Amino acid sequence: MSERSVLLALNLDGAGNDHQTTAYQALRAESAGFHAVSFSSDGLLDAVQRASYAAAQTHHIGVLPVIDALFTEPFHTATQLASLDIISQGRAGWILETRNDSVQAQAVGRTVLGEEQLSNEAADVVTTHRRLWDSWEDDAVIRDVATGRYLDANQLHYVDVEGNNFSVKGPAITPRPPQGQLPIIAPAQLFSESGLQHCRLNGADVVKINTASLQTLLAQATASSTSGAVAIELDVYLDTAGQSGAQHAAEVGIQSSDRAIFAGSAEALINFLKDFAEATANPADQRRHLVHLYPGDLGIDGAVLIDEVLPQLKSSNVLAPISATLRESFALPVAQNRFQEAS
Amino acid sequence: MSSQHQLRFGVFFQGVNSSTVWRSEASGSQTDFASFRQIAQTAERGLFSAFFLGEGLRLREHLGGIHDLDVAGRPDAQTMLAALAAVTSKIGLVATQNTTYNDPADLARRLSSLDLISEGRAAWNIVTTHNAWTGANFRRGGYLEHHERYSHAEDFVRTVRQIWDGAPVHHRGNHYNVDYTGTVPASAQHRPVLFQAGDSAEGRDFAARQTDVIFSAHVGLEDALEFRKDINARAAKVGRAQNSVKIMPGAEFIVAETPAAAEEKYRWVREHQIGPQQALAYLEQFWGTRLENVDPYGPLPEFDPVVEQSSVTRGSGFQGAKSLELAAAWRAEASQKGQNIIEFVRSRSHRADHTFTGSYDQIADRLAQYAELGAVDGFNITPWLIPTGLDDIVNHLVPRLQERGIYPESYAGTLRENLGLSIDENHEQRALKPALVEQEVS
Repeated sequence: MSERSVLLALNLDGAGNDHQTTAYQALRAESAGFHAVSFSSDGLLDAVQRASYAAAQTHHIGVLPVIDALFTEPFHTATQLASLDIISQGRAGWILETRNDSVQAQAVGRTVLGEEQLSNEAADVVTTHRRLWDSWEDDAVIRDVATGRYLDANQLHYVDVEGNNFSVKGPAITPRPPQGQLPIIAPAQLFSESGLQHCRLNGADVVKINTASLQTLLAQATASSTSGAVAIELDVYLDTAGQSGAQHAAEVGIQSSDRAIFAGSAEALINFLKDFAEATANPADQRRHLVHLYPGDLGIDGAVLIDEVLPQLKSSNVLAPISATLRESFALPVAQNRFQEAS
Repeated sequence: MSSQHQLRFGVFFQGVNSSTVWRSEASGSQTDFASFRQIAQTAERGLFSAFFLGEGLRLREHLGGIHDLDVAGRPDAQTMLAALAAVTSKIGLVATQNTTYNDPADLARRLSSLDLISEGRAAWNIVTTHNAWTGANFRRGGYLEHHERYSHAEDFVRTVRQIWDGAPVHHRGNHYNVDYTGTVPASAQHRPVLFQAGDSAEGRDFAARQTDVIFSAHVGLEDALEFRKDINARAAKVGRAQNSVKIMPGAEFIVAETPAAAEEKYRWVREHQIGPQQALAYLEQFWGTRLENVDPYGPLPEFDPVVEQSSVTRGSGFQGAKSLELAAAWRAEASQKGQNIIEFVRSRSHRADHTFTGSYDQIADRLAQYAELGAVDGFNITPWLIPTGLDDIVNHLVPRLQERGIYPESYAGTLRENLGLSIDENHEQRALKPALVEQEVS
């Protein structure tokens, strides 16, 4: 039987640029029992800022911005994510994406990368984040009146990352985030030998699988789950009194996303999630897996998720407990500081 | 009585500096959200126009190691301000952001985003740097020469403003190109308010052309009047109206019920800001060597600085200082005043004219003079204690300023409105035209 192994995240892009609706939906999702809410940046207000705005008004739900790793500054994104973790008191995670398109590249005066470079670049960027987040040891702020020292310089570390395309000296300008290391959720394609090899704390923590077919998705997730935490993403269109989910999905038309579409009843979705939980459960190591739901319409499908799907799932044995930090909800081990271990 | 000219307050939560007291029992976290929330909410209760966050993109160093004597470790400005937007509703939210180590498209998008999330309360304090030391944390590295920093900054600001105006931007610059069309709509205040603090002739011209508010270093009344005159002259040259560039000097307030209590508090603050280690470290920057065997309670070192060097690692204020001359002058000054090292540094590092020390009534009267003469548009206050450092000002000084008719009784609306700024369309247009800009910009 499934072992309370599934985390559920609800995407809030449907709230658009309305920050008050975003916060309201985040509170609804928190009350309903979602583990996290997510925010992407497609033509919308900044994902980190929306997450931060929502974090300031919620108490235990995770906040997951989607951030590109290619055409951003690793030093800035590491600072932003650490700050989001500080503001949310340990509830932040990073859904890493690689948006290798010319619009993104030209906006910052760069050019697209070769496909073969993507996983290396992502690995360099993740390494930079990991090292910056460890560059302050947890107790680096000592406030030692006798010696006049606010910081213990011995607990601060240069990161000295030498990537293929950039280098970063460090240390961070922001103290170590409450989680030590934020959970990173990254696409499966990046988990090559030289890329984000699946090694917690060095690469990403969670492998994100995307494929258009639900059955393939389940099969790939099952296969991947034997070596670590997985995440799947679904566009969700649920039956309502006036319209079937399938009709709604058909009306919306061709999706630009590469996500699988789930169209059907709340019952059918619950059964799919139970199947997913069963197929990926690994009681031996308490591994947890993420199902990331993109409601076709936040007002319609989001409401069905909150009013019908979540209550039934909560009474089953599927959902993982919600812990104080996102790392703990994922049952990830305590993030040891790499610099502390070395000393 | 009412006066036409009102003063406005901002609060600068510095996060990295030597003026924040961290040795007291009352000193709170420099990092926790709760500290930022408390300062911002207190400021809003006092009808402050703006809440400022600073930025330094590399942890400061001292003689080759991490500088460990001052508060440090601050959260990202815009991420923090987005959270504060949720727990405040009127106060402006100002992010210090660098034009050298950001991308115009990314920064324009994030600032617009903050402006919408805060419902027209966002501002950008424009700073520029050129040093490779900071660049070591970024993809581009130290790509900018000192002499290019203002032309690059202006190029950058112009690009950001074009993005905010909504047209497709195809910018060709010396260092990189930008092809981008903004996706975030304008807020109720049209675009984020622009602040700038540069004080060189170049910096002042830049401010006169591009910015709404100058966060100045000219606090003393005479100094402030002179600065106002100078900025007005520079603004006139680019066709901007008198006093259209607002001026808010950074200042420290040490206030209490009575003059004697304020003096007592002043001594306490200085003692807690500058201890023996901080005093020696201050001199070490100019002496270029460790002074660990020097007695901080004795006279300034008799020996000369080891090298005539300047340091970029503690901020631009120290660059270009001629150490030998300085050392000689300081020895003479300290000896004449009978000051030991710690006394000298305390008097030196926190200039008396940047601090308003006195009873609430005394300070209210002094500020009334500023208002009457139109010397400044307000002050950007750096609290010396986090998170309670604004309490006295909000509870006791602000009501006295209101009684004198020189401080707002309520918020007007957006940050732009609260600062008394208009949207001067002519200037908006002109600012985009390279022809009006003296420097090489492409």
